[in-house]
This record gives sequence, C-alpha cells and structure tokens, in this order.
Amino acid sequence: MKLCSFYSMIQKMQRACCITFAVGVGTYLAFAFKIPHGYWIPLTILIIYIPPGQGNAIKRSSDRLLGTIYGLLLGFLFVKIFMYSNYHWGYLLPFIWIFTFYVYYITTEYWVLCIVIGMFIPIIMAMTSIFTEDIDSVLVSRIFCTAIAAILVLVAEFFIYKNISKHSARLKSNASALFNDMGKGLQILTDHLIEKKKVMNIPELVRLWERTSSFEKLHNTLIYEFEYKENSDEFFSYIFRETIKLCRVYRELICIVNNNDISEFKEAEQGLLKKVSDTISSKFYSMAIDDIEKNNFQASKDSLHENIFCLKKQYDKLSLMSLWCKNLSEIAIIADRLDSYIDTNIK
Amino acid sequence: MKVFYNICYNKIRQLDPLNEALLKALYVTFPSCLALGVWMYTRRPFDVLFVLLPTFMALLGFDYTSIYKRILVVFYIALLMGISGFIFCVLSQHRIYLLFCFCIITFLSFSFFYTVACRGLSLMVILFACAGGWYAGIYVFIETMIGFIITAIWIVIFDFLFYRYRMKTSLIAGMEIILQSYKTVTLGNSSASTINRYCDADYLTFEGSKCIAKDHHTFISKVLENDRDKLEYKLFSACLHINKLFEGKKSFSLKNNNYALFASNFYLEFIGLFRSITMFYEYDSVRGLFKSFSNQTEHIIYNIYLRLDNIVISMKQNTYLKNAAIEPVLYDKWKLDIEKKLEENSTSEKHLEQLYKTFYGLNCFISQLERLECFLASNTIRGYSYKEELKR
Repeated sequence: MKLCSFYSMIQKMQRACCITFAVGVGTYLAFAFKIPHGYWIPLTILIIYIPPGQGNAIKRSSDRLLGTIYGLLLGFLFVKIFMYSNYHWGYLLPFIWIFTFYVYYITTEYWVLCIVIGMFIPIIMAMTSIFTEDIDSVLVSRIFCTAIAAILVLVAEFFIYKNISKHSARLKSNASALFNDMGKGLQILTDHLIEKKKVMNIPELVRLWERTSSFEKLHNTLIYEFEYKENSDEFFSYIFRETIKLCRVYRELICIVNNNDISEFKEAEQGLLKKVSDTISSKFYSMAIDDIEKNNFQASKDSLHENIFCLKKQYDKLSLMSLWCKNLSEIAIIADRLDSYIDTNIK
Repeated sequence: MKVFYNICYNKIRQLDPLNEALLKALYVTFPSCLALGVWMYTRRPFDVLFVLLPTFMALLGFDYTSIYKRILVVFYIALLMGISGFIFCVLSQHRIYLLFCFCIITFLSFSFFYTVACRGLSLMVILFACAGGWYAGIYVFIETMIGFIITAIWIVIFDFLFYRYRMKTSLIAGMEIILQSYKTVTLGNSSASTINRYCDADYLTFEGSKCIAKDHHTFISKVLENDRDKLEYKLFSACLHINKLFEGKKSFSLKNNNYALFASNFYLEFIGLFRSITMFYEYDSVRGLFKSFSNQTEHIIYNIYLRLDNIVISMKQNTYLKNAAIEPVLYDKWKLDIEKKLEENSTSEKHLEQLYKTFYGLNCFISQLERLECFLASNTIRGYSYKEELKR
C-alpha cells in the first residue's frame, strides 16, 4: 500500500500557494483600489474552498455569482417596494430568513444559500450602517466583489494549479484511520467473543462508532473525488465497494458476538482465534501506516491462510463458529484484494 | 381540511424526516435576530459584524454534540476574532504589512489545517471592514465578546428546548427505517421509495451543494448495481446519521441528561436490530427453502412485521406498547422445524450456509425485538417510567 505517497506534502503546499495567491490578490485589490466592502473578495474566495463541497470550483463559483445576483435583486425589491412604503415590513425579515434557511437545508443547494446571504447581508448593512449608506451602492459593490472573487478562483483553478480543491489529501488520512479502526475493531471483537462479553457498554460502542465515522469520512472523500472525471473512476468505485463489504462483515461479527451462545472455548482454540485476528489486524495496521511492515505481513500471509483453514476444519459442522471463520476469511481476502489493488493502481 | 393537513404533513416529513432542517434554520437565524434586537433596543452604533458574527459562530459550533465543547469552540472563535480584529484595527495604517502577514498565515494554515483554515480565515477576513485605530480595536473586541455571550445564551436555550425532541424524532425515524427495510427484505414488497425518502432528504446529502448530492446518487447507483446493496448502503447511511446524535451527548439540564441515558439504552436495542438485518439480507434467495422447511415461516415473518409496526405506532403516539404479538409456542415450533431440517443437510453446501446465516439472523432479530418490546412495555418514548426511575 502506498498511501503515504499518494498525496505528498509538496502537493499540499502547492494547493496552499494557489489559494494564498487568490486570497492575496483579492485582498490587495480590495486595499489598493479602496473598493467599498472589498473584504467580500477574499471572503468569497475562502467560502468557495470550504469543505466538504469545495470540489468543482466552476459549479461553486457560478452558483455563488448567480445566487448573489438573485439574492440582491430580491433584497432590493423587498427594500424598495415594501420597506420603502412602510418600515414595519422589516419585522418580517427574520421570518423570511428562517424560511429561506429552511429551504436551503432541505434542498442543500448552494445557490439557495447564496440567495439568502445575498439578500440579507446588504439589507442588514444598510440598516446598521452608522453613515447613511444607500442600499443601491451596497448591492453594486457586492456583485462586483463576487464577480472578481469568482474570476480569481477560476484563474487559480485553471491556470496556476489544476485540481486545487482535490480531496485526495483527505483520502490518505481517512483510509489510514479506517484501516486502523478495522484492525483495532477485530481485536476487540475477538476478545469479546472469547470472554463471552457483549459489545453493549457505551465506551465500547463509542470506539466502534469511531470506526464507522472513519468509514463515513473516507466514503465522503471518495464521493467528492468522483467529481473529478479525469481521475480513474474505477479506482474509487473499487475502494468504495470493498470498504462497504468490510463494514458489512464487521457488522455480522458484532451480531455474532452479541448473540453468542457458544458454551466455552478450549485453550488451543482461543490461541488460534487470537492468532488469526492478530494477523489480520496487523495487516490492516500495515495498510494504514506504510510499506515498511508490509514485508512482515507477506511472510505471515501463508500462515494466516493456513490458520484460517485449521479453524475452519475445527468447526466444520454448521455452527456459529463456522460463520465466524467464514467472515474472518472474507475479511482477510478483502484486505488482500484491497492492498494489491491499491498497490498496482497508485503510481 | 384534514386531508390537506395530511398532505402537507407527509410532504414535510418526506423532505425533512427528523425536522433537522427546520431546527438548524432556527438555530442559525436566531442569534443574529437576537443581536439585531439588542442593537435596536440599545441604539448603540454597533457594526454589521455585531449582527452577523453570532450566526457564524453558532454555525461553526453546530457540529459538536456536547454542549460544553460547543460553547468552548464558540469561545475560541470569539477570542480569535476579537484578537485578530484588534490587531487589524491597530495595523490598519500599514496595510502592506497586514497583507503580507495575512498571506503567510493563509499559506501556513492551508498547508497544515485545511478545514480550520477555510473557516477561521473566512471569519477573520470580515474584520478587514473594521475602522482603524486603537479605540476601534477595543470596540471590535468588546463587540465580539458581546456576540459570544449572545451565541452562548442561545446555544444553552436551544439545547434545553430541543435536545429531547431531536433524540426522540431520530429514534422514531430509525425504527421506521428498520420497519421499511425489514418489509423490503422479507416480504418482497418493493418499498424502496420509502427508504429513499429518508436517504434523499438529509442522510445522504451531507453539507455542500446539491450538485454533490446528485453526483453522490449517480455514484451510488453506478457503483452499487445490486438493489439489495443499495438498500443496505442507504440503511447504513441513515444509521450513521442517527449515530451522530448519540455520540458524546451532554447537556446542562439534568432532565435532558436523564433522557439521553434512556435514549442511549433504546438506541442500543435499535442498533442491534439493524445489525441483525445484515445477516438476512439474502432472505429472498432462500425464501422457497424456508417455506418448504416449515409451513409456519410466512406467518412468523409477517408476525415480526406486525410487531415492528406496533412498536412504531406506539412510539409515534407516545403510549406504552400493548398487545405485543408474541407467540412463543408457534415460534419455538418453527425454530425446531428449521433446526431439524438444517441438521439433515438435505440441500447443497452453499445454500446450507446461507440458510444457517439467515436463520441465525432472524433468531437474533426476534430476540432483539423481544427485548425492545419489554423495554417499551414499561416505558414510553418520553423517557423512563416512574417505576423504572425508582428502580434506577
């Protein structure tokens, strides 16, 4: 597994350089030309890069621009038609604000959020300004700043460093966290099975939750990564499918542990069970860390399959333990497949 | 009128099953409104920042489940904003230095802490709007601290008011999902659309733009070709979403903490059901064999469905569970029949393994269901009953 080399520090710095360029130029323009409310330029740039939806800069920039224009138009109309005749209309603003936020959280459309912000911020600015600031000028400067910010983001994305907002950096850490948790989880489960304990108490569950949340993080990263069509889609799909399978098998193992009706384990069986789970866990740990421990695992790979075979033989008859062994071998196979697939596909 | 109400209610439930969107909208909007109210009442010449910052701060703290953590995060943000606002005001005459320092901070923070950098810097940038001078710097600091107090008060109020409600709705939604997926898996009734509604609404659309959510769906439908896999994945995602609510929850209120204890116990039973379902996802392929093994199979499967339905209804109506359709004799007979047939090893090895797994999964599901029924027979979804409180 070459997770560590997947996204290097240099790439992270390139990305940081690129964003710094966009933000720096934006701030400089705002300072040099004394643009009214010029801080909107760097603000917009930074908001476009906010994760998790920072990918797809074109879509986000255009959403931002269009949403702001619509929002400003709505705000302008509200102020000039309703509030102009009777300022009591202003008391409706909080309710409209709640409603539009509600629509945003239901639809999760970025442009809806831009409409909300575009509509209300200039109104509040005009209302709270110490000097009598005309709303028209606020609206014009808002559109101007948003347009400049969108242009800067696109320049950074296409001319300086392509795929600036790529999620690969997170892929490495999230995959590492998941594999670590998988290894830890398997050891916990085996101990619980042998000691006939249930995975019920809160600290245990929290530990297992961490595992699932690391899956969630990884899986989000994969999905966002999928947006970059130039990346190999098949690669991400493969990891996605395999991690889902892994989680399913783990869930089955937890179910077995919690409904364990095995009377007692012999010492030899316990040793074998622990040995197998430790070997698989060490495989996961090696996948999470780097190549160094991988060689050790290659050596123990044959013994792992041998041990699983021995376990299976012991529980040849249809029983809970045969299910457990089947799941263990499935985990070992998936881990193997994942490891070799990533090895051959990451260059 | 009632029909219209039902249509609206169902539509809203479809869009927002946990009412999370509504609560979040309220959570985001209220601090600003409170600040606007303070501004209007005091008639102090506050800056626009005073109105906007509370909302931003509250929004950044929303993801933290523990209230103490949330307030601490908001405090750190306020402190960062106050100090940086002060520095920006003082250095406002030396804009080139300011720009240089800001670029260095941006570069370093984006290199090492991407997520924090985006959020923190976007808040810091707003402070460029502040007027220059020492006096203005102190004024910005005070404004930010008042903003923090407003936000903290709102966070406590929000937690006190909606803590139990959020947990309760997520438990109900979770049980509904279990019911629907059980129906889909065992009864062969394609109610995937009902499952979809939970997943489409919020669970699968994590924060971000809809384009991502759409791509998400394209991705899922492309990667997972099998319908059963898609259903399983959606169920998993929904459970992950519900998990978040129960993770490290702590409230100021004793009543809320007591309820959290109750909800966690309930949740443990619920998650057990979810895990058991995983064992019999392939029920469809062995349905015929099960039927041939025991003529009671269909009856048992339908009986479990009714029991689940009963639980969901009692949860929605806040009542104790009555008439739990437990038929131990029938169930024991069915179990014996299947076990006997499995021992005979009359089918192929592959089928036998699958049969055993499904049978085991169903058994786990039934015992889990019994535990849940016992739990709900003495307690309603509102919390522990008086008897339970005394016992504890």
